[in-house]
Amino acid sequence: MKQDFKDTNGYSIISDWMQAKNQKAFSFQEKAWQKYGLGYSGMVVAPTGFGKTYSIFLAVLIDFLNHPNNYKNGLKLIWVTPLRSLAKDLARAMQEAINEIGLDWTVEVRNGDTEAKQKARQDRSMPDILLVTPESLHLLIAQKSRDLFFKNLKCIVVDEWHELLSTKRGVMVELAITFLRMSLPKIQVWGISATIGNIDEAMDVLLPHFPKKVKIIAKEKKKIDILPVYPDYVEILPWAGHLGGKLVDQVVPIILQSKSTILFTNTRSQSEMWYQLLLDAYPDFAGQIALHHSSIDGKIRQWIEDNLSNGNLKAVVSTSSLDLGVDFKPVDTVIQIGSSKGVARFMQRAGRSRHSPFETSKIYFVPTHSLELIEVAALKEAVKTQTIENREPLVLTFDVLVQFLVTVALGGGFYSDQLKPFIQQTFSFSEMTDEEWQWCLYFITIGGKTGKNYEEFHKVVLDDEGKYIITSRKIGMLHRMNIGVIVSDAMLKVKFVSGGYIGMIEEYFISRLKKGDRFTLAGRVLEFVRTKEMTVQVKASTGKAITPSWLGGRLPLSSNLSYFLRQKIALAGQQNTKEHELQFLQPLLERQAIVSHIPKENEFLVEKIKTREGWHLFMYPFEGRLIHEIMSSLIAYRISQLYPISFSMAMNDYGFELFSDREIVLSEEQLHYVLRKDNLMTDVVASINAAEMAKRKFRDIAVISGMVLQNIYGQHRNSKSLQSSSGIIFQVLEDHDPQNLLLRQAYNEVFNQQLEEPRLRSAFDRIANSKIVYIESTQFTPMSFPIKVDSLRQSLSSEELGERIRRMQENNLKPIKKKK
Amino acid sequence: MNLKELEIIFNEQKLVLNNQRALYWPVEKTLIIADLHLGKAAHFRKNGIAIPTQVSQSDLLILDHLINHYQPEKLIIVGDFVHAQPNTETENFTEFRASHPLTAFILITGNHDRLSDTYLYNLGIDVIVDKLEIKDILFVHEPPQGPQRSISGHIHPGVRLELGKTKKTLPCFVVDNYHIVLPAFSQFTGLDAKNHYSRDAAFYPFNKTGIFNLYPNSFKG
Repeated sequence: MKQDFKDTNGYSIISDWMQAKNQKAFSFQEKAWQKYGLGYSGMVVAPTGFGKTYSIFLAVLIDFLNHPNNYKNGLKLIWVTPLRSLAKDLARAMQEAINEIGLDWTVEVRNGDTEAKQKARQDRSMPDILLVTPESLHLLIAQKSRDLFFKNLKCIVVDEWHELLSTKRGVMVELAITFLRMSLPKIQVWGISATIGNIDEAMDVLLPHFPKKVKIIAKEKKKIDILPVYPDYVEILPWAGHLGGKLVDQVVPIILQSKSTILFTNTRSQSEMWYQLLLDAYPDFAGQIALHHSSIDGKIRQWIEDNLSNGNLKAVVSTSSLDLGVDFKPVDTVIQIGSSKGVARFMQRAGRSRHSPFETSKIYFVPTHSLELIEVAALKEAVKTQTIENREPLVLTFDVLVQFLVTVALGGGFYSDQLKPFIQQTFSFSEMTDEEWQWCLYFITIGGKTGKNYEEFHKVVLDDEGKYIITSRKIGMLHRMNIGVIVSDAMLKVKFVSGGYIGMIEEYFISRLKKGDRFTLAGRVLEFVRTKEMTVQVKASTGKAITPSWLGGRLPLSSNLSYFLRQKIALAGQQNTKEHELQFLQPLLERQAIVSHIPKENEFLVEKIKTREGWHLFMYPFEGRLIHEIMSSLIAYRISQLYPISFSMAMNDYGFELFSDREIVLSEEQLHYVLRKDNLMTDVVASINAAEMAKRKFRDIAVISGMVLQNIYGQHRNSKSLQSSSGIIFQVLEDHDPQNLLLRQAYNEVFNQQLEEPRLRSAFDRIANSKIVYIESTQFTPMSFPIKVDSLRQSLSSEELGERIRRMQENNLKPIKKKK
Repeated sequence: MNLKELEIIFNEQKLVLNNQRALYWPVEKTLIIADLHLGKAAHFRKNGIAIPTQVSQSDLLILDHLINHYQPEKLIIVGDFVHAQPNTETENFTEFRASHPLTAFILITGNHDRLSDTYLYNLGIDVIVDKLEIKDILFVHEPPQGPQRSISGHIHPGVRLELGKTKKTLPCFVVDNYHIVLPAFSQFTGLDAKNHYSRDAAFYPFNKTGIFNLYPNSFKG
């Protein structure tokens, strides 16, 4: 069978072509080619840099060469990528290959960057291969001539499926595929993914109810070297944030020794800070290093990416904005500042260096406080055992569904009975009830279940034949402009008074500035002058400046990493550890063992500390900041049920603090009681403001479902009068239409995503099965100190903070020089 | 309706602010509101955004209660009476108007009031002007600059309050020596908590349970 395939004309043409380029197909590529030829759909899992693209792209070419008569004129292959920036280079590479092989196929891109002229030309005559984003694919479905576009389509490829899977954009892909299968039952769909924990589920989500499907996993593994950067000595009372600055002198030589380096930080503010640190430490870097994050102008980012590819830049400081994207061939070193908080992200970033398959990726880890060295040990373990996080697919996202229904209605309409079974075939809507489907139809036609409350509402109408269509030009246009599920924060342009565009910044940050305040953006110090019509006007300035703290910049610690973290900490408690990171931390760990305790894997540590300021209760679940936020309010609530007391709370990824200026009276028995797993969710709901959280979740839902218009054409008065905020609509629906499905979705998202109910439950199960170790102390311990510092950070300016911490450290103990 | 009131002195006149988004001037027997945005929800519905009708019904229900309570001779609407184009919600206003024959309806036009005077007269508005002065107090839609005593709307003022950990923006009246800015009467409107008012402005935020007096140093704006 396999030999037969190797005898085919198509196979020999392609392998000859590869041979001429001195390349040899990996076995997973050959397997994909063969399976594709047999009519399979499937999923290819391989590390970056191993030619995942070729596995499917060449499969289609081989099949065409073998069976040219099966392929007709027009669009044959749709290639979905999550990133616009990827598409251009990918299309160029594909077109080159096609030309070299000697075919006459054309490859084109269609996304938000494509010019209208080009789109119009495509509408008249589609290329053979079209590269799209999920959004531009939906826009094609919204076109009246869609049936013509897709008539001869043979295959859809979804690239970087792992990136899309747990997002609403992934649901968009699911919906588009099921829709296309209505008229093209034989269409082949292939996913390309990096390794993730739930790869089988990932395939089922992309290919539900596909009769012939196969999972192809590359045996090749990318080798990763993890090299921690050690500080000169261990600070026994560590605190987050300052250590990086001390390590800059060790980072500079790493950059100088490398051809080209990417420094990954976790937040935009951290990247701004490191850009400055590097320039201060080594002024010759000026002009050779750049700063790349999502608030920097797209054109500048493009310039940086181009120059990184050309080898003109020595280093780029970036955030997750460079996690994905094209290969930067000259990059041979990656430096991660602070913990990456997740195994998959860490491996992804490591893979950005030495892109070719057989080289080892080198990643340096620069801790921002000494305890983070334990995370290095945990990451090494996770990488060694390939314990990579799951990406959870989203279900019952009705906001995406109603948007899609309008899209389908716009591009020629649909019949409810015909479309419904296909929607229910998707993973996301497999649990949808008939009633919920009916509600979605009501929502797009008469506004809601009680139609009389929505007089004059006509978005989608039923024609005489029972087909759902759109008749109003204006509604159609507004919808087309708002297709998509990426909801942007209110961002303002930052410009010099004299003109000159610098970047974008959140309105939230600017609203706190006064005239004359200085802040940094894109590596410059700027003075705020005024805000005028969605534009922030600034002057160039020098000196001390605030670094904007962007919202949502904090990455949550993944549950996989927290598992290894607990393991490593327990291991650190034993004297004879062989791991260098843990050996290095011995002075700190000894101190923790003397004044308190190092929790073993089956133990849960609680510290009660009395200081001059008041009483502190520290707990260490190691579940990440987001879970700790919920846990701390829950524990505070449960204690306040015992007797009236109020707390202020602080947390990091390792634990949380409850602080009160009154004595916290809590016996061992009571402690067990407040940590109980019974009535967990009831108490959680009582301890948080669920309505407020749901209101925040509703922001995205309102935009996606079309209740808040993100893009309005022109500055027409009529359109301006359609602006409102999701907060108002949330309130109106709570008051007048509480059964609204989109409102309920907001609450469900709070429970599933914000509260992470399953993870919270398993944390409390674990605590219930652990021995609780309850320690009382009169000074901060190495584990509690960083949490305490984080709580001060919110109320003090950075100068005050540094001074305050020095005093606290002196009051507790002095640092010990590292013995070499 | 749980009506709570608060008396202030402005330009030597006793004025009554209430937590139902209106101001009453007892001596003049005048009820003053701003930014009713009549027909806004229906305008949204017509353009494919499903906002339930009850929003605008409840606005008019509250206005109905207020007129019955104060029995004013005059109702002054300081601008943005109608949100956009005529629709069912604007048409229904005639009925509401007819049920209050003893009150004169005066409209100070605002930036949203683009309908023809004929149409507005037909809805039952008695007087349409772009400004009006009573006892040295200017009624105008957008707050004027300078030392001219005025009562206006337009801004939809709100004030951001931090109560412990929770932050909330409440609608409010803004009052300084010369100007009163009324909250938007329509509940289906946003709040502007960012506008910088003069330093000595007092804020009167309210909710369903009451109306409060705040000076700038007691909140974060």
